[in-house]
Amino acid sequence: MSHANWTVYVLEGTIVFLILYKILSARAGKKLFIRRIPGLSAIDEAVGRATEMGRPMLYSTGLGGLDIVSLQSLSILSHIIKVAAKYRARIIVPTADALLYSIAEEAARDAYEAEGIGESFNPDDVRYLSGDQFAYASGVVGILNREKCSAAFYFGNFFAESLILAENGQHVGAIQVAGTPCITQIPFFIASCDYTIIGDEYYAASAYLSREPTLLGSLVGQDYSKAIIIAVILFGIFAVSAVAVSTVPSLETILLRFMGAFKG
Amino acid sequence: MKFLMNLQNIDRRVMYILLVVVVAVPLYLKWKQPIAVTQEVKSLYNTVEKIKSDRAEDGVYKVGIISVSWGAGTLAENRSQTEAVARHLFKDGIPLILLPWDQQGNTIATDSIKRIAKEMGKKYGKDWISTGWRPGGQMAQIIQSMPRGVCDALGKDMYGTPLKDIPMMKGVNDCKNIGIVFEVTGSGTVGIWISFLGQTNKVPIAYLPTAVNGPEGYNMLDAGQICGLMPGLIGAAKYETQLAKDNPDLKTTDTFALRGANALSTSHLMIIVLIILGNIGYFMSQHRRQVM
Amino acid sequence: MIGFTNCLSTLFVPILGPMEYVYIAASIVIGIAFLFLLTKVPNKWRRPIIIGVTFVAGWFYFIEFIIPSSSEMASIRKETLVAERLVRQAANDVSVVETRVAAQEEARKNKKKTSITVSPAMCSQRTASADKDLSAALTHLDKIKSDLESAKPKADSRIESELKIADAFARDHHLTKDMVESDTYNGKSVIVNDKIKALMKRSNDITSANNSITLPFPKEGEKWEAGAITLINSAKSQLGNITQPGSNLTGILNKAADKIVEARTSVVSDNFLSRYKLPLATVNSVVGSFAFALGLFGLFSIHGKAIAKRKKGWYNSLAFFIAIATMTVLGFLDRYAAPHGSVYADFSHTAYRIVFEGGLTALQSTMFSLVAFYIVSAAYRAFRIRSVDAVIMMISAFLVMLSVVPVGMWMTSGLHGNLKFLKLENIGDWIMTLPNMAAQRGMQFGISVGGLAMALRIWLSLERGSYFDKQL
Repeated sequence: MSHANWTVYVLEGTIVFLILYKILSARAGKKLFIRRIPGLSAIDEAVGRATEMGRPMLYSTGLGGLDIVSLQSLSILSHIIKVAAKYRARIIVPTADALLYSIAEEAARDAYEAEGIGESFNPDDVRYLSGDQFAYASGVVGILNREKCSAAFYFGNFFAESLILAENGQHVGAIQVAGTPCITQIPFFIASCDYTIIGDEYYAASAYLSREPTLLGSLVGQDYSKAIIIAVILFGIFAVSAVAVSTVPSLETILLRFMGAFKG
Repeated sequence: MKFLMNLQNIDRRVMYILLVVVVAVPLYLKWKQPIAVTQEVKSLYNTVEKIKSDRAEDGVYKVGIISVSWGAGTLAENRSQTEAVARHLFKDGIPLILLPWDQQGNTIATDSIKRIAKEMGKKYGKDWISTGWRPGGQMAQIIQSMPRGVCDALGKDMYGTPLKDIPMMKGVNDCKNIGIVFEVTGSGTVGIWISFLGQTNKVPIAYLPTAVNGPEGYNMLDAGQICGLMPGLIGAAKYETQLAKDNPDLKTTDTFALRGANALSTSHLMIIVLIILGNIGYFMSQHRRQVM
Repeated sequence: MIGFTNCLSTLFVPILGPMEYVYIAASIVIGIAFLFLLTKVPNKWRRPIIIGVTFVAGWFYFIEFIIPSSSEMASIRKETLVAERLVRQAANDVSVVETRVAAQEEARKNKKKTSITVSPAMCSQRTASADKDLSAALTHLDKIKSDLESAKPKADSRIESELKIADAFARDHHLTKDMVESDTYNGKSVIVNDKIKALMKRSNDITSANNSITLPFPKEGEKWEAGAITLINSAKSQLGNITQPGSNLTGILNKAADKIVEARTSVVSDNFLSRYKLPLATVNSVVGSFAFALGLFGLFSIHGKAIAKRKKGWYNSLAFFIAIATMTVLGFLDRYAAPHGSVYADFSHTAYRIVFEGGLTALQSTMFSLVAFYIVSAAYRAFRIRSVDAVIMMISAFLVMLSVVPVGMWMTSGLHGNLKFLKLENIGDWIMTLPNMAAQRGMQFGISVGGLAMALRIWLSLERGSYFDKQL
């Protein structure tokens, strides 16, 4: 589909409306609940451990370029750096995308400045390694082993290198927290990391960590949107089944129209 | 008792050495095992066969595109997949366009296709061409341009000849002339083909990922976004098995994929045995703790 | 607006000869000056600028997506959608009767009793409904045909005027005929923005066609709608026979619907903004290249300092400089420096292949092969039966692992008949295509909605974090 059709207008319009409505109502002061996500709660624990051990931490933004997944990763990075800066703990951020590298550096600098210790920021700790998958992986593995990192965070787009990173982190004894929307890599992170953030928890991370009303509102809006999608799926199942067994042509026409609306 | 308990703490170096042995040895043994061709591979195979039968019926000239989105890293799996489908296209007389998005993949895949073309008596420019390396960053733009003219979108071949001037490309104008696109990849690039060519122009897209990324393909296959799936080395072995079954004269009985399938068998068995041993050790230590 | 567009197009005019280098140098100087100026912008202005640019860029892609095709083909696309729906409806009606007839026939052959009945009333009702839908579909297809006929002269005159502008432009800018030669793909149905295309041709850019407004009239002798019309007419004439065993009108109608889909997909649906997508992508690539230089500069700084201060492991940093210099020099030598066929060419090509294949390729393969080792140690450590869930997980893992390898297939190769479903490959296939797929799709929906919400927040500058530390 090159351009939107009516199904997209209606479905996406409803989702956007719900998210914005919930954001506005949250900003108006409505209290919202968010359940505990162990992986995200473990971040502070990991930073504390790194401070005690006096060893640096590592934060990998994955292989993605400057996209939504990486921007969410930067949002989480920003929070972690602020916590790390508070405890004067060192964090190394290797990136695989040059555009992301410059933004990550600025985000790190901002986080240090927000804690009032801008002079402690070391620009060399945010690094561009390589855009190549395994060159990047070997670079990160090198840092993990040389610096004996006490904690490792993997948030972003990961592919076959995920297990290489996580197993090396495991071997150096780092406490590891990972989150990725790349579904095929989640099993590898679960096997090797202490905590793994699954599926859309990845996008709930910034709301969970900051408890900002805007982000919490957005999260509730997302839940309502998912309810609508579930309703559409259920109706689709009903429609397909009904067409298969129906003997009423007019009902079939309506249901076929409904199903046709979801074609590209 | 202590020995059994220690089974839960086998040194990883011991496991690594064992793995080297169980992977390397079968690669040198001529050991034939039955390989069942599963549905996802079969539907890919049938799509290629359909190009041939459609051509006989409608007379529409169709080519196959092998998109090389892999590098040296995933060579062991992706090269076998590339070779398997190239053999099939050559066998059916379907012209092949090699479209590499990775510099390393370009060199490796071109060498492979040259070798297979020589084996099967196929000629460059008549039976196959390569566009040479195209920057991966421009993948979306190039694919989006294809419906407006395939030759224009792909420009020149690896020797600098405009595609329009190559005999094989005469008659290739728009997406109707693309019979199938094989996305051979080690990462998540198939979505671009699906969004900009598969869904918009109904060109059959086949997904040939590494085994690690294979599971996500079943979704796309079920939703009709891809016409077939060949996950990893074992997928290539299944495809070659089907190819050999239908074409006994084709030299596909001793390929790397088929030998690799044996190595996969032994390594998977080894992992299962290790997991069982680990659990015996775990069970014994739990038992002892309870007794104490 | 037209003046602005012309101004933009002038920037894309190809420059040949020594002036090319002057332009490249000037572009670099301007780029550096621009970056320098950007750093001097006060903080209170910098943030609004970033927010403004994000918002405008977001608007561009948003509007480009939601505005339908602005070409004459928009109505034709719509007609094909209606025609396809009608044909599919007819196919559904026909299939209801045909499936029942086939089931009855099957039962008769096997001498079994069946409760399936085919009443004449139902048959005539379905046939009438299908006939009505097919007639309506034919009307729509005829309309498409006449729309195409009437749109052609209008499009041709637009092409003529575009070509005149292109000719004048070529004359003014001393472009050779070869550079502005119009594309004759699809007869006269392509209007090429020659100014941009000239540049594209010169620089071997393969995306020239993206800058054309394409009106996809069927080529001579390839009238797609004719195929669909023939199939529908043939189906209409056979509607009376659908109660005969062996009738396959459903197949014919589905094929007709596919032909209509084929027609729709050949209609290029550009709107007035689509043509700017490629230049914007090019701007993105250029910004990316600058950022790459920044990344490289960062690497040089880290490793340069390590060598200068003789830090622990400084020789690794030296290896970095040696590797980058070797690959760069050999790459350039192989590509440009040595004349073809000379001894130097052979030498540089061989040297490049040794470094590339002997070094880089081997290193990359080694890194990927490490995954196999790590899978073994991770699986050994992770699969401990600590709970019922873990047992289920482990059993599924064993089944899937065995189902994909020949030895697993061999283990259950003796199962036939009713026990065939117990073959490991069938069990593995079931796990992958049902439970696995359901879980993946559930996650995918959540991830997609999450991504959409994130994009919305960034676009409207509601996101707090990373580079927006203050929300609006």
